[in-house]
Amino acid sequence: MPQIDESTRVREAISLDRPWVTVVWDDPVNLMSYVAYVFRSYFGVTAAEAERLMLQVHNNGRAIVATGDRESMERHVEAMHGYGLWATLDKAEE
Amino acid sequence: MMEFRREDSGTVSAMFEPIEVDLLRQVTSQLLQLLGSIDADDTAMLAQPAVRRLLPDAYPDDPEAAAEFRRFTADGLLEGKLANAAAVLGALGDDEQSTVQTDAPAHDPLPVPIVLDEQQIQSWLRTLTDLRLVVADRLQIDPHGVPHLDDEESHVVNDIYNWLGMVQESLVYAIDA
Repeated sequence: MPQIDESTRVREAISLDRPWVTVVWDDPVNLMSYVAYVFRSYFGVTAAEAERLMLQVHNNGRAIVATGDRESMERHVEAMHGYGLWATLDKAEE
Repeated sequence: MMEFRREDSGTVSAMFEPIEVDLLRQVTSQLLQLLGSIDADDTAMLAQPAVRRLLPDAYPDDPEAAAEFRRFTADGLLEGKLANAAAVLGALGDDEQSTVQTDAPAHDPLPVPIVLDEQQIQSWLRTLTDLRLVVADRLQIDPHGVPHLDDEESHVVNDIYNWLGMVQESLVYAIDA
């Protein structure tokens, strides 16, 4: 128990320092229409924003789809894996 | 297969040829077997490309954090994927019809209506994705989307891959409309 608390505290301290990001990577399998649908239905963004993010994934190889504390980003990454998208989390660039 | 269409009741529906129902049932059963065989604690199994794509590394540059993330999420993700695949099989109905056709058919079997409610739609979208991820691995699809599998089955597998994509796209368009 104490160990979990400790690591949570450390994580929170880090997350105050620099936010984390959820990154979705381009993969050759997932359909563009499906990826846009996932962004729209999961993140609740407009169709135009979902399209923009999807094209960013497609054209740049990756897109940052969310920014925030580590736990929230882990939740998003888990959700993306549930949809079959290739997502990772990382520290935000300084 | 006829395109999925949104009904007034909120469901979507499409007509599938019996052979398509059989095909989807067969590949989804195989997916269920694969998912059921995955042990999230077995690192050798997790290293298999198809499994890796179903449960990707959340921290590509930090194996320790990736392992910890997997410890907390893999079982739940697998459970969800299994439930989705089971829901797809459920919507396809039992396979009595297909097993009875031992005699030479006197006429073409009739198309089968597939009707999906909101929850089934979500299961189908996700399972079609998981199926394509696994089939893409079998096809050795490279990052540019080009398949490299070259054996006696590659044409059939490629057709299945494209058909699954067509079904998924049709479903996405139907719920977008």
